[in-house]
Amino acid sequence: MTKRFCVLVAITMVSARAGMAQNPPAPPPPPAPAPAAAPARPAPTTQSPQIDCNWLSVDSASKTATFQLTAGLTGLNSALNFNGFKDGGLTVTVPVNWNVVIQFTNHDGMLPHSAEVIDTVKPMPAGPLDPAFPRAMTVRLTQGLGSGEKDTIRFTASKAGSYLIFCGVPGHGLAGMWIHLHVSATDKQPTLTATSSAGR
Amino acid sequence: MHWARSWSAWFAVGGMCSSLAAQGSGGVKNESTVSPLTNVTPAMLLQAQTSGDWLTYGHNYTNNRYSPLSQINTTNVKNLIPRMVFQSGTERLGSFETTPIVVNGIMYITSPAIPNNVVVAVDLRTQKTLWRYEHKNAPVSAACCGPNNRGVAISGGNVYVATLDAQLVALDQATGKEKWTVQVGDPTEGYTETMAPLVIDDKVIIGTSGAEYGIRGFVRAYSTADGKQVWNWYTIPAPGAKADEGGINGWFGKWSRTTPEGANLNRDIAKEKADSAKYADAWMHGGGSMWMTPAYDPDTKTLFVGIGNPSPDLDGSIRPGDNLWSESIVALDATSGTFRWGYQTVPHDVWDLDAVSPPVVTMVGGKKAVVHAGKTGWVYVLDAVTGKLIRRSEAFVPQENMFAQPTADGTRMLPGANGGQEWSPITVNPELQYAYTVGLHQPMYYKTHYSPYETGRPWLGSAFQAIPGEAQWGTVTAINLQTGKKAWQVKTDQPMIGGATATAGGLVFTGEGNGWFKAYDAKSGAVLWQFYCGAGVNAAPSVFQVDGEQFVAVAAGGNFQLSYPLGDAMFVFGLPKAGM
Repeated sequence: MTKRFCVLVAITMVSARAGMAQNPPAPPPPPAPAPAAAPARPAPTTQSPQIDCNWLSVDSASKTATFQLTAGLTGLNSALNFNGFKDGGLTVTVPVNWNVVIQFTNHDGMLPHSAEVIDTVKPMPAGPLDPAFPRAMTVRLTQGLGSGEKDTIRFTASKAGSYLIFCGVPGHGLAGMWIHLHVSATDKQPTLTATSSAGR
Repeated sequence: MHWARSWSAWFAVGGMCSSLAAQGSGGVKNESTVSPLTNVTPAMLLQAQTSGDWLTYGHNYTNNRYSPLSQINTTNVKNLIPRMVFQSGTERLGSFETTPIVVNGIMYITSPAIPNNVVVAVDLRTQKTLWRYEHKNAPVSAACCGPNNRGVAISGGNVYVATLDAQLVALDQATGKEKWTVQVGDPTEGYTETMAPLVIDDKVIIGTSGAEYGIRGFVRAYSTADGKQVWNWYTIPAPGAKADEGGINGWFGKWSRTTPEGANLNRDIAKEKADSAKYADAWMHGGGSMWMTPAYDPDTKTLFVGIGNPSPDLDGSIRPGDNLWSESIVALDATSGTFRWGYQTVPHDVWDLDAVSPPVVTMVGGKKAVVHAGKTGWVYVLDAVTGKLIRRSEAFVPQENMFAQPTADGTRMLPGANGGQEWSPITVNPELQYAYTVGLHQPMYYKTHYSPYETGRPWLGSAFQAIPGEAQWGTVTAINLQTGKKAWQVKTDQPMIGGATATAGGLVFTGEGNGWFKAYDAKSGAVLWQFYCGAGVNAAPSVFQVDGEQFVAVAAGGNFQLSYPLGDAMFVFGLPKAGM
C-alpha cells in the first residue's frame, strides 16, 4: 500500500532534524526600509517555499520511496531550484537500504537541468561528480534535460549518510541548485522536511 | 590529449573526398603546401567587405555577414558537398557557437568554454592543426545560458579571445602562445565573456555578459599592444552622468510610458517615481550587457553596440526608471568611448527582451542606417547619424499581449524571453536591401518572484516558464529594409538560434536545431540545398575562398539552452571537383 508522507518542519541543521518541530522561518525583511511616502503596494518580500505532501509517496511493503523532483518549480533563485527550494532548503530522508525512485521533471522554461545524488562535498562542485549510488542520476547529466522533459532515477540507498541531490549542469549546483538526501540508519519511514539554507 | 588528437582528425564524408588539398583546390598543386601566415592589417579590416577571407565575426565592420563571393550560387548550390569535417572531441559538450575566422587558408576556431576555452588554428590546405591554445578557466558558476564562445578577432599578428572567466587574452597568431592577458571583470560577481571581440586600429573592443547576475555592463577598448585599458563606457549611467556618458537623469531617463514607436508599456510611473529614492542604488547592479560583437563605421569612427537586459530581468519594481541604456542600440565614439546617441527599444524592460543581435550598418534608400533585429520580433532601421527611427518592420514572429506586465501567477506574452531574434546575427544583402532574421516562437509565462541581489548569484527576479502543450517553432524571414515588409518567410520545425550568412551568389545560409543546414534563395526563400549534420547547427556560418575556390563553414554542435543535440563537428562545404 502506498502512502504519502511529509513532515512540515523547519530546522536549523540537517543533523539536528530528528524530533525538532518548529514553525517555518519568517520571511526575511525587505531589502530596504520603506520611505516616508510609502507606496500603496507592499514592499517586496521573499516568498517562503512550501512542501507539498504529494511529492513523496511510500510503499512500506516494498520499502520504496518515490519522490517527485521538479527542477525550476518556482522562480526562486531564478528557477535554479528543486521543488522551489535551493541551497539545501529541503531534505528528503529515507531509511537505509530502501529503494528510491526519483521522478524528475524540468519545469524551467529557459534552461536545461539534471539531477544526481552525490556525496556531501565542500566546496560545492562546479559540475557533475560520480554519483554516490550506482545510476543515481538522470540522463544527460551535464547537458541537462530540456523544458518539460522527464527522467526517472532508481537506486537503492545502501549506505547511511548525508548526500546532496544536485543539478549536474555546470554552474547550477554551485549557484544553489541542490537539496539534501539523508539516508538514515534510524528512521523507519521516509520524510520530507524544510531545512535552513546553511551557509547562505 | 583528447583535443589534440581530435582537432586534427579530418576525414571524408560519404567517401566522396578526403580533403581540400586532395581535391586539388584551385591552384594548389602540392598537397603539403603550407598556408602562409598573413598578418591582418588595419587596411585589410577596412576593406573586408570585398575580401574573400572572413576576417571578423560579422565578416567586416558593417557586421552584415555578406560575402562578395559568388562561385557558389543559386544554380550550382544544389551540388554542394561536405569537403571536410573535423571533430573537436571536447570532453564536455556545450553550445558550439563559433564563427570560424579564415585568413588565407588558416581557420581559427573556438570551442565551447567548458571546462576550458580552446582556440585552434587549422591549416585548410594541409589539414594540420597549427596550434592549440587552452585557457584554464577558473570555476565559474555565472554562465546561466551556456558556457559558450562565439569566436576570435585577429589583427596585427595577434588572435584575441575572451574567456568564460572574464579575461581578454592576446595570442601570437603564429604560435598560439599568450602575449598578454587582462582581467576584464570579476567572474565571482557574474562577469563572463562569450562574445568575439572586435579590433579597430590599435584597440580591442569588448563588452561583457552577466546581466542575469546583477553586473553593471560596460563597453571597453584595450590596447592591442599590451592590453592596457584605453577607454570605458558604462552601459548603465551613474547618477550625475554627463550627456556624453549617456546620462539622462542618471539611468532613470525620461520615464517613458511607451516604446519609442508608441506601444504602451503598462508602467506605473507614479509608483516608480515614488520608489526612486528607495532604490537609488539599483543602477550599481543594473545589468546592461553588451554580449555580442558591435558594428563600426570607419567614416565617422562610430561604434554601434547592442545592449541587453537590465537586472533583475523580470522584476522592475526594484529598479525604477527607464533603466538606460539597457535594451538599446547605442552609438559611441570609437576613439574615446563617448556617447553619441541611444535608441532604447524597450524602456524599463521586464521581459528580458535584449537588443542583443549584432547591429548592422548598411545603406537603406540612400541613407546610412543601423539595422537591428530585436527579441521583440521587429527589425529596427535607425538613422546612423542621429539614431532616429527610419522605420520598424512587420513582426517576423507572432506577437501577443505585448508588454503586459509579469505577475506572480504568470503572464502569457509573445515573443518569449528568447525572442524574437536571440543573439543570432542577422545578415543583410546590400544589393537587395534585405535583412534576414532567424526567429523563435516560444510561448512563455512571465512570472515575478522577488529575490534580493546576492553577489554572483543568478538574479532574474523570477523565471520564464514554457507553456505546456503549446507548440514551439521558428522562422527564417527576409525583411525588405526599404519598406519594412516581409519579402518572404519560411517556418521551421524548431525555434531558430545561431544566425545567418548571405552571399553575392544570391544565397542565404542558416542552420536548425534538428541538424539541417540549408541554403535559401535570397530573393524567394526557396530551399535550394540542405545537408543533415547530425547535431544542431546553431552557429553563424562563414564563407571564404582558398586558392580561388569558395567554401562555406559552419559549426554543428547544438545548443545547450534549447536542448538541441550537441556535437563537436565543424563542416566545410564546397563544390565537387572534376573527377569526383
